[in-house]
Amino acid sequence: MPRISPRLVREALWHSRLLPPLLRANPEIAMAKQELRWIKNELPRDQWRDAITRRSKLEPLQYILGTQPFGELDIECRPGVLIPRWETEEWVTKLSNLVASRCPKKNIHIVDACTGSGCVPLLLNHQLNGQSDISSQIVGFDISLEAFNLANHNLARIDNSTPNVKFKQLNLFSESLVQELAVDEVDILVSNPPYIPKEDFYSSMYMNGVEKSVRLYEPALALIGENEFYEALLAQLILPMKIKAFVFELGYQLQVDFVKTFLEGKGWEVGSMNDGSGKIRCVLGWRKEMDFMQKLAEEKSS
Amino acid sequence: MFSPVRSFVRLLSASPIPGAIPKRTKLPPRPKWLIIEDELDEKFLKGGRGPGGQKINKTNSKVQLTHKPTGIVVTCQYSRSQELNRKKAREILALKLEDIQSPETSRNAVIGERKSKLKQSKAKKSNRKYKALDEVRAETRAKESEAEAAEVDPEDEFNRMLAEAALRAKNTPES
Ligand SMILES: C[S@@+](CC[C@H](N)C(=O)[O-])C[C@H]1O[C@@H](n2cnc3c(N)ncnc32)[C@H](O)[C@@H]1O
Repeated sequence: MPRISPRLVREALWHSRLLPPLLRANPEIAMAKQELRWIKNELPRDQWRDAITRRSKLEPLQYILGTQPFGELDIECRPGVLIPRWETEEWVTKLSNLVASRCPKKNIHIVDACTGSGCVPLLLNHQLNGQSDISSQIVGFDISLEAFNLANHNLARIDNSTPNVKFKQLNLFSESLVQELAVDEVDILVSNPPYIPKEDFYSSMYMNGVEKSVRLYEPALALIGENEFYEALLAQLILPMKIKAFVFELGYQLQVDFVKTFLEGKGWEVGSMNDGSGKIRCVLGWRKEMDFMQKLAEEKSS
Repeated sequence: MFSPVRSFVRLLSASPIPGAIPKRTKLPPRPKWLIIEDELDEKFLKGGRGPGGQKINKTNSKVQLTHKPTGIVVTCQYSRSQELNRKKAREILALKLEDIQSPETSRNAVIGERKSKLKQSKAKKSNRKYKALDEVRAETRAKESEAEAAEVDPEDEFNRMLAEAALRAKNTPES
């Protein structure tokens, strides 16, 4: 943990006696103040002290407050399940806007592999149904029982009237995945699979590794992975189910290249897309009938 | 039908009496109509440092709006929700625009007026109170709990932000 200078602590104390412990998780005063405000706004007074103590031990704020905003939704978060990230929120929002405005097919079937809290299907459903002439059927699956339970809980909290979203507990590497998934037709496959190689998972954030709060508190099952997940998404789902388009989140150019090489000569267009802070963030592919998807890839070069 | 005396009273309280404290419920409405989406340039300010994605779990919800015709820039990271910040940034911008168009009667101006009058009347009251020591103590206690409440109440926080935004709009003539 970087040492906190006494000067910084004094400055923090000047704002509030509750602020200094938050400096451990937030080396910048402005960010610490922000978090203190969020704690005060969202938790009853008698829980502030406990929340601040937990945060000073680097527990993610989202587990302490219990939620993470995701588009217009509030996704419940629990230890044991990955917290939704703003990068995911960003590409899901772009994808749903594009599908709503450009997709030639009006009844669209989507699968989200490695769904975690269920944030991706729930936001896609929220954006697609109602606001456009599109209707969607979305299935999300995850190997983890904790994730499966939380996704169902989020579904019930947000909109239990919708029969358009379903969650299943399935292993992406299962030999009988297609049968277990039991959907006749899939137009778009989306996924944010674990994509951090082991070496990086155990190195510090400053060495292209992982923030300590992530390593200490979020499940390694949700984070550690390399090309095997992309390979399984392609070989287990895309090809056998004749899916026509996909968006996969990733963290490395090597993973983009892997997907490109895998699909070479198979009749696919493949592009990539950066996130709002300019980092490589998604690989996407489409077959001719879904070439509206290329709008997403183009955003990268603008 | 109705008593003439009553309607006279109502007439009085409805019309702005010079020197009266504007009622909280009688503030001018939020000037949402000043926001025209085509005139806005919206940016989501995502810190460029660090690896991002699954490797980081910090909240990053800051929104920046530029009003192209006037060049006014507004940022908002009041909430953890980017969607809420987008809405709030628009509200703040609308208030700034109204301040420029009608500085006397804008919502911000009336809020400012209300605040300073409330302060004056409080000061008067407390002058009277200083005569009795007990009352002074009660006042301090009330003030303390008021200050604490202000720390918690998001509505208050937001109003303070708006007031600051208004000040800045006045002090720095934007290009
Ligand atoms: C990076 S998290 C993504 C969660 C969610 N989609 C999101 O964006 O917040 C990856 C998820 O993959 C799940 N997972 C790991 N191995 C899996 C497997 N073999 N089959 C299915 N899901 C798996 C983990 O449980 C975790 O929930």
